[in-house]
Formats: sequence, structure tokens, C-alpha cells
Amino acid sequence: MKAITIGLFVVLFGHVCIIYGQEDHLLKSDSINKSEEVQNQIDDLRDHFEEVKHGHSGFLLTGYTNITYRQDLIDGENTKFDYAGFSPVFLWMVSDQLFFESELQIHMKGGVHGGEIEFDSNGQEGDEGTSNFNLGYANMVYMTKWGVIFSAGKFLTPIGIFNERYHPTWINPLPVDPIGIGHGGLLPSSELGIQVRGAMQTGRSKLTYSLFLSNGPILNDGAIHPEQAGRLIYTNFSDNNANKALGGRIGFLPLSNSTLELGVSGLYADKVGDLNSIYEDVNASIYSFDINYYTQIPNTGIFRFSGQFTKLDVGDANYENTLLEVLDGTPLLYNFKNSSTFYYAMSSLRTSASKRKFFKNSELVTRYEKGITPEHSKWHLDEHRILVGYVYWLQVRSAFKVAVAFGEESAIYGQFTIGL
Amino acid sequence: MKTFFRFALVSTLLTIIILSCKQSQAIMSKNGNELWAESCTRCHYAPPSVDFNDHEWDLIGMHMQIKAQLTQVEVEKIIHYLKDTN
Repeated sequence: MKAITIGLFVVLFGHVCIIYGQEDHLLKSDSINKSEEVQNQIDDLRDHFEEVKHGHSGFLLTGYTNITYRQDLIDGENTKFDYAGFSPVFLWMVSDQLFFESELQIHMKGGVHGGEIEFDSNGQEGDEGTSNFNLGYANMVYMTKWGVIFSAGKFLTPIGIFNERYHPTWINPLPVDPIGIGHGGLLPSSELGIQVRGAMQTGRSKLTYSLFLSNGPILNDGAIHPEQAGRLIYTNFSDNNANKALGGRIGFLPLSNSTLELGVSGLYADKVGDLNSIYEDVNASIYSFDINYYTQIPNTGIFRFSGQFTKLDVGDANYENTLLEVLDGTPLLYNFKNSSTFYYAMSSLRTSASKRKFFKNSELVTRYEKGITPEHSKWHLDEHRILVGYVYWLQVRSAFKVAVAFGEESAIYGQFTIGL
Repeated sequence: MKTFFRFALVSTLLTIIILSCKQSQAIMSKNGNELWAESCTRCHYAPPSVDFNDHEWDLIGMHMQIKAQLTQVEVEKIIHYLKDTN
């Protein structure tokens, strides 16, 4: 009996072992299948990632768009949507050191970036109602590992601070550019040439630098457009002489948190007149001082102040009056001290510390600006303008702006802008 | 007068070169978050990191290094921070 019991136990134990072994085998096999499945999924994901991942090169299309409304305060003649434009910005990274950046400006002719009057390359007011393509900049860049940047192409003129930093409508807190600045303005907006720029930490402060060599400005001698005689043209595309303009900007950020920037910039062209003409040796110089400051006011928000003073001098030259003017008794030749001055000061306060969404997204802006061109020139201008504006930020790069401008041409502006 | 200007120019350049040799510890120890807030706000409000993906931030970083004249160290720290938090 004892032997039978032991025998049954051995048989039973054997069965249990066989069953356990089979189950263990099944479990192991199931586990292996699952692992393979997971591995396959990982492989698939890896393959997919390999397909979509970016190499060293890459491309990004960004930019901004806006529509601007203007209504004159006095005679009400100009009551219109003054400007609509789209400015795609192309960024192309060829490698860690090679880069290309370009901005196209597609807009209605008759208005420019900020709703100012557009002038063509000869200083003539453009036709309204037609679309206009303009190459803002197209800049090929080589970046060294030390942070020194070499570039060639068409680049924004680093004179003052507004042109390079504030010209996109989503950055400029007012719907219009300051007097004299902007496309078709009396100050240069872009250069065709080569540039070296960069920044260096100098202890707790920082120093930025830009140095460029470009075709430079061209003197309008009045042969085709006598009313623009003596004015500089910044078309850049065709150099009218062998001389090049040399310019640059030095920026100093004395505070360790980079909230204050002081800049000095300039351009000098030894010859701006046409080759072999009596204007060949006329020179031109531009110099500018700028400041940019912001601070975080506790329980209030961000306060910003910026300003720019620019002076432009063109060498002495005699210009011819038109035949009709001469027949009326005006002398054939005339000259004037060809010196122009433009400046602005802008401050803004965004109440971003407020708990209420409306105030959090609100910003108040004010700007005083003045432009004086040569007194006895035919394009004389002596204007000042005070702008008071309100910005409602829909998000970081998109806003509604309203501004009232008081000055020689008082007007109300409205603008909706989206930074892409 | 010319001598004075030459002396002033040479002195300024020498001072800059000497100061450039040693970066402040306070500057070097700044992280990407601080630099992102400080550098972007110089011209516009700082965009949130989720607005763009890693690859796009690389391109924007190069673009901003040119436009806003950021140092190599600043760009690297800012982009690293934005890519870590997007």
C-alpha cells in the first residue's frame, strides 16, 4: 500500500512537473512573442524617425503680415485701408556654420511697412493700388565657431536701432515707422555688399559690432527728377561709381542683464555722384546714436524706452533748376546746405503683471519724432509728430494697434498684425 | 586734438580686449531660461518654447544670433533651454 501511494505521488508529481514545464514554456514563448512585437514596433518607429528626422540642413518659412487703416483728422481726405502686406521670411540652415536668411515684402504700392508713402528708386511716389514686391534682405552667412559672423548679399543697414530691430510690424508697437525711416525713406534701409558682425562679452557688459562695405547711396542729381535734386537714393542694385561706402555700428550693453543698449553707428561714402559727372566727387556721411532700454516694474509690467538720432550730410554741389523755372527768372543753378536730421524717442508700458487678461495684454505707447531736410532744397521737410497708441496683444507676435498722430498730418491709424 | 582722439581710441580698444579675456562669473553662470527672458525682451516679448519644434529653434537661434547679435554662448544656452522645454 505504501509502495502504491509512493508510486501515485511520483506519477502525480511527474504530471505536475510536465504541466508546469509546458505552461512555463508557453509563458516564455508568449513573452518572446511580445518582446519581438515591441522590438518590431521600436524598429518601425526608428525607421519612421530616420525618415522624418532633419539632417544638418533645414528650412523654415516664417514672417509677418498686417493690414493698416488710416483716417485723416483734419480734412478726412484719406479715409482708407492704407496698406496690406505680407512679408515671408525664409531661413535656410545649410550646416552649423552656413546660413541663408531672406525677407520678401509683398505689399500694396502706395503704402509701406508702417503705412507711410512709398517712393520708388527715384524718390517718386508710387502708384496706389498695385502690388509691389521688394527684396527686404537676402543674406548669405558664414558663422565662425568664435561667434564672428561674415555675411554677403543684401542686408539691413545697421544704422541706428529701428531699421534692424523694430522694422517688422509685429515688433514695432506703433502702426507707422518714424519719420525718415522705412522703405523709400530718407535714411537707408538695406545695403548690397559684405558685412562682419558679432558680439563679445566684456566682463559683465557686452559689446556688439557690425562693419560693412557696400555700394552705398547714389546722389540724385535732378536730371530726371529735378524736385529730388540732392537727395540720396538707396537702391543699392547698381553702383554708379567705383567707390564703396564703409559703415558700421558699435553697441554697448553695460548692464549684465542686457536691458540697456547704447549704440553709435555711421556710414561714409567718398563719392556718391555718377562717374564722370560734375557730381562724381560729392561725398555723403550718416551718423547715428541710439538707445534701447527696458525694465520690469514690480506689480506693473514692462517699461521700454528707445530713441535714435540720425544726421545725414551730403557734400556741396550745384543743381539745375528746370527750364520753366529759368524762364520765370529763377537762376539756372542753385545750391543749399545738404544736411538732414531725424530723431525719435519712444516709450511704452505693458501692464503684463495685471491679473486681468485685458490689462495683461494691453500696452500703451507714445513716440515723439522729428525730421528736417535741407531748407532750400525742393524736397524740404520740417515735420514733427507725436503719436499716442494702444496695443492689444493677442499673443506674443500678434496684435491690434490703434494710434493717434498729432503733427503736420494728424491722423488716426489702426493696424492688425500677425507674426508667423 | 588728433593725438587725444588716437589715445582715446587705442585706450578703449585695449580696455575692451583686456576685459574680453575674462568673462564675469555672474554672466557665465546664467542659465538658458534667464538669457531667453533677457535677450528676447530687448526687442520683443519672449516667445514660449512650445511655439516651435527643436529643428525650428535651431534655425531661429541662428537667425537671432545674426539679428540681435547674441554671443555664441548665449545662443547655445537659450536654444538648449527652449528645446528642453518645448
